[in-house]
Amino acid sequence: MALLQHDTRSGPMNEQDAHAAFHRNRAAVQFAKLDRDFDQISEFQRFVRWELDRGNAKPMRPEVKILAEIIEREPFVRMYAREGLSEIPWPRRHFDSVDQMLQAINYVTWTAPIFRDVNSISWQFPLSALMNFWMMTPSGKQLMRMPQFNDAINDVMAAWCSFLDSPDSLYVLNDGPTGWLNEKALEYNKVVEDYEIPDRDAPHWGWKSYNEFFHRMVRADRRPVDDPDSNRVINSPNDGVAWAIEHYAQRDDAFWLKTQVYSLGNMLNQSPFTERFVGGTVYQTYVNGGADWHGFSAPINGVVKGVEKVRGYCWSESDAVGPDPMSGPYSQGWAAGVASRAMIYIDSGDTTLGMVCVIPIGLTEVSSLDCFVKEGDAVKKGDVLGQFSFGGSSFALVFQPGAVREILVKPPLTGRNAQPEDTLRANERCAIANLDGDGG
Amino acid sequence: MIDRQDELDARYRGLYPVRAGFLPAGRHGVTPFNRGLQAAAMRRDDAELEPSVQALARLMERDGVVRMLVAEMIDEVDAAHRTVETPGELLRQLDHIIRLAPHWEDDPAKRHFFPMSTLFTYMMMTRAGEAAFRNRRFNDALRAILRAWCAYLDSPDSRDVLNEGPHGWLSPQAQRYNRLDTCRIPDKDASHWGFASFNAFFHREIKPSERPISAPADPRVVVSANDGTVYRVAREVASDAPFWIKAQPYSVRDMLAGSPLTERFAGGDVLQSYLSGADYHRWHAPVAGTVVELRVVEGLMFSNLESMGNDISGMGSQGYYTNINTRGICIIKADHPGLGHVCVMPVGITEVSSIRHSVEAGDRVEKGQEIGRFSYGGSSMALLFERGAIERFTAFVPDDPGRTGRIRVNAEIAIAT
Repeated sequence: MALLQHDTRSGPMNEQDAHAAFHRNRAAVQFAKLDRDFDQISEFQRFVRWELDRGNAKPMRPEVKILAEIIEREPFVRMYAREGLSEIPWPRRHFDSVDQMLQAINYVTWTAPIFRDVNSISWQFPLSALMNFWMMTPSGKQLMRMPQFNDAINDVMAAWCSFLDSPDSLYVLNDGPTGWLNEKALEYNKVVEDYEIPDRDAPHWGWKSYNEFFHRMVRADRRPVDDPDSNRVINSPNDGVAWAIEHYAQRDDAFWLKTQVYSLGNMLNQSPFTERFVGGTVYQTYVNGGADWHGFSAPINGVVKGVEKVRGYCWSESDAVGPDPMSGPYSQGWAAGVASRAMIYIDSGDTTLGMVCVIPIGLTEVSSLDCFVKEGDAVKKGDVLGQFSFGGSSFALVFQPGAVREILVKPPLTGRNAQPEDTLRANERCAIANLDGDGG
Repeated sequence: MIDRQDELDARYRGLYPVRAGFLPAGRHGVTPFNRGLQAAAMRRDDAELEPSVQALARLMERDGVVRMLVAEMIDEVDAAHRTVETPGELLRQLDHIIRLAPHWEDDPAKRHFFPMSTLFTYMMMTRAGEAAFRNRRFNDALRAILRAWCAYLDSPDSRDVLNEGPHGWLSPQAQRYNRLDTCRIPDKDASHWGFASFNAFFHREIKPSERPISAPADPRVVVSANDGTVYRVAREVASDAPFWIKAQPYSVRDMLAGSPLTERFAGGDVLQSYLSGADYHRWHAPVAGTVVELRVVEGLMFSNLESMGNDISGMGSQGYYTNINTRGICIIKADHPGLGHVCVMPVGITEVSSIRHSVEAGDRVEKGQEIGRFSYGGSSMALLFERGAIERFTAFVPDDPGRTGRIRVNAEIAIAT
């Protein structure tokens, strides 16, 4: 997920207050930024519109046709789709009709994201840039929650994912001004510094697709595993910035409210493991920009007790947040309850630490995630558990009550500029565990 | 959420069950009834929930969006009218409703013949409720609950309300209200007068002499498919219209839900009427011909058009329902070539919303022949005609929206070209 540039604000420092204040003040905090962010989205949308207008529309994918048919056939999908477009204020309305919007979506699924400069977020996340205004309107919010629409757009994203997995997507891996291998892009993504490169002399440096580049493997020496033999130290499974920490999480809570509290039953999809986490701690982070690794690794040593994938609502924002120029990051707590995600349960073998649940959460774009482990696998800290294909990503770690002595991150960082020093790296310590025999 | 009381009043008066006499004309009767329901449901809160209600419980556990919408529609009801405190209580109350048949009530201010509509009255009018009742998964789960209720109302157990006591449907007052003297009674000496179930009573047969067929030999005379009150006659309707706006235009492609015959009706005419509680609940063929398409479209049941607001006609969302509610599609290829095809569209509203055709595709039908029944629940009827098929509509049609026109099954409503 790209960088969220919040204005600096040192809010009240009680954890809950700070969290609530962040959400309350978000619109105000963002105010100065929004126009600039929106301008960038407009620029991208106008570009796609111009491409369509000058006859560069792409062949319609069958998945987009099905989406179009569903909008045609389902009265409320059509109603919310049309009304949502018409609720976008004129200066920001760049598409005249739902059909044109679908043409634009189709166009994007035949392209790979390009790099322009470090701030060119819209070009790096093109589907988000297209959906952004639509999804934030009142009708758009309902549209994104219609199961019919969501299923169909998930299928469109899967088709796009196949494109990004194919050699057809390699054209953006070049050293030209919009290529991901030009000097500025390489530096921005720390490609040379941090990542394994298949073959620098080969075309596209040896990557076989855009997605291979996107979830390229980080060099082991750049993500050393902290305290590999003990579960005293819990490591971060991912690169990211803290979004929220909540203690005493409830089984059923109103996750849709402004505070975006966690509701474990929904997050864990009513897994039989849910009960043991009730009253425990949730710690959520998000992947913050192209330099971050898009894989995730085991935070503790243990045995995988279950892996479950849930296909959810990838374009739905919470009603409680204001305009989100990045199509989702403001709603990460909400997303933890409703978005596409996976739950990986790792049993530490220690009765006090118990089980830790790692939840990669897909936000917007492709929202495609792969898990490399299965029930019964023994994992060591730092073992790669899975990876995200192109798309935004957030992570939650869920701990049982009493399992965590201390979370080593200042809570919460969301209200401030995310500074490099706030970014946790995968395999770096993020918490200290309580273990059997600690007493007390 | 609507804050202003007069706006709530206007929206309440526009609700179909209120118009049709299934609910009290005044809103003040709603909350006392719901409090009674709340208390009754609480008294048996240890009973196991009916399987369809359990399925709704599981849906609310797993689908975060549904859970939010239900929780919020409960919360958004103001405290004075909130008789459901939690989603769990809502399940209990639904479970209670579907184990009973509605009983007769002589006092119009206490008539709650549609208890589920009464239960949902305020929730339907919240912002979250508007979205909830349009959510396919929530609506599908509610439909399953209504099916379970329908099975009960089809069973002999539901007959206990068919008695001559003060709250029985065979009491002297109820007999008058329901004009039972015009109906064929299976056996007045048998228990429950010979009705096999509550639904058998609800869609009881009318004496044929009460509904003579207009001009049976003249194919140009089109007769009414149902008893009811005319809501609207619309000429030259669009094939694709924003049915959700305040004017509630008919949108033929939405109404016909993918029928291959859709284009034939674009630019045609629609006559819509709605049935009241005491009306005869079967429908008849308006023309002679052959049934060429027959199906039931499973749609919504409790969704209302929020934009109706202070609609002066007080007609609520009748036009809107034809595009999105559970409805039957029975397209008859008329013998009279000037008519082309005629679509008979019974529309379910609230409660059981059960549509049962009594003919099959390919069947020949004669004008005035019974072709279907509404089981318990609200009902509206739209007739669709091809462009240019109707020379003139002859049924009384109100010029000003405050007046209404009654129509009767088998009586002339239009003349074909």
